[in-house]
Amino acid sequence: MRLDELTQRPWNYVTDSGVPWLMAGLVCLINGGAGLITHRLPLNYQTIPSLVGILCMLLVFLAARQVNLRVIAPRGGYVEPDDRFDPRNWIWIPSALVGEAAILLLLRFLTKLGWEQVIWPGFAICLAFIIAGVGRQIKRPRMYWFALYLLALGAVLLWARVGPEMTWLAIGVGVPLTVLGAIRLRKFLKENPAE
Amino acid sequence: MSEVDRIIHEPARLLIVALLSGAKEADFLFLQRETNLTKGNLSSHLMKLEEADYIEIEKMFRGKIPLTLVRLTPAGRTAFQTYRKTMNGLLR
Repeated sequence: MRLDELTQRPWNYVTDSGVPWLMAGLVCLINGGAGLITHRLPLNYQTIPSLVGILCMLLVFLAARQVNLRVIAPRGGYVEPDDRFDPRNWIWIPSALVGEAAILLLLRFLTKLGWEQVIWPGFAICLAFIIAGVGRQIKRPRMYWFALYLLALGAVLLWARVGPEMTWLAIGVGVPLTVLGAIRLRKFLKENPAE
Repeated sequence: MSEVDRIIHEPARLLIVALLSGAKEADFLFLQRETNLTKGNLSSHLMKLEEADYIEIEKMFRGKIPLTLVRLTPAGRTAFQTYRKTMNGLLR
């Protein structure tokens, strides 16, 4: 009996259902989609996609809550993971900020591009390191694949010389998260049929 | 060995307390699925933990469906932490 794994189980159960991944993916896609549409509209209408996007994100949150209550809980049970503030769990934030700054400086030095062109590729690369670190900490080697994907995404964004908007990064992150979430949710529903 | 908490030391109850220590609250179905205990067995272990004041049980309805929510009390949380420390000390 591994007590550490058991105490982590409520968190793992919540993510096993796929709903948080699906929700995060959809939020990223909505954000990216709104960004794409905004640039194709006349200046007077450019706030509309953002407002519609915020409304859609709210709907995604409400839908996720309903799915958890009406679909997940009756099949596999309900659990509210303990999220009490523990400063030890947040020590990575200053390290990540320092890492992000170092990556941005390195990218600028190597590519001679402007800040606006390295900020989102740099963010993707920094996120890759964070994901790999979390995967190592919670012993989930599959997260390394997502970290590798983010590294590749960072390289593509750098090569494509994206602007200061995070549109393409949001879409690049949103697509795999949505697919992963949908696959997980389908697997969960198959493994836990309604009684 | 005498300092080991006998209520938590029983494997099924240790499983329940360990699961609850990572949660604010959980329902009966979640605990049953995760522990693979029968309903009767889980109920009797929950009663023993409740008698020891390690957990609190709240029975309610969500819509028309009965729901049994289980939470670790502060005493239960402390007992679990002490148990882990004791066992780590004994096994070292």
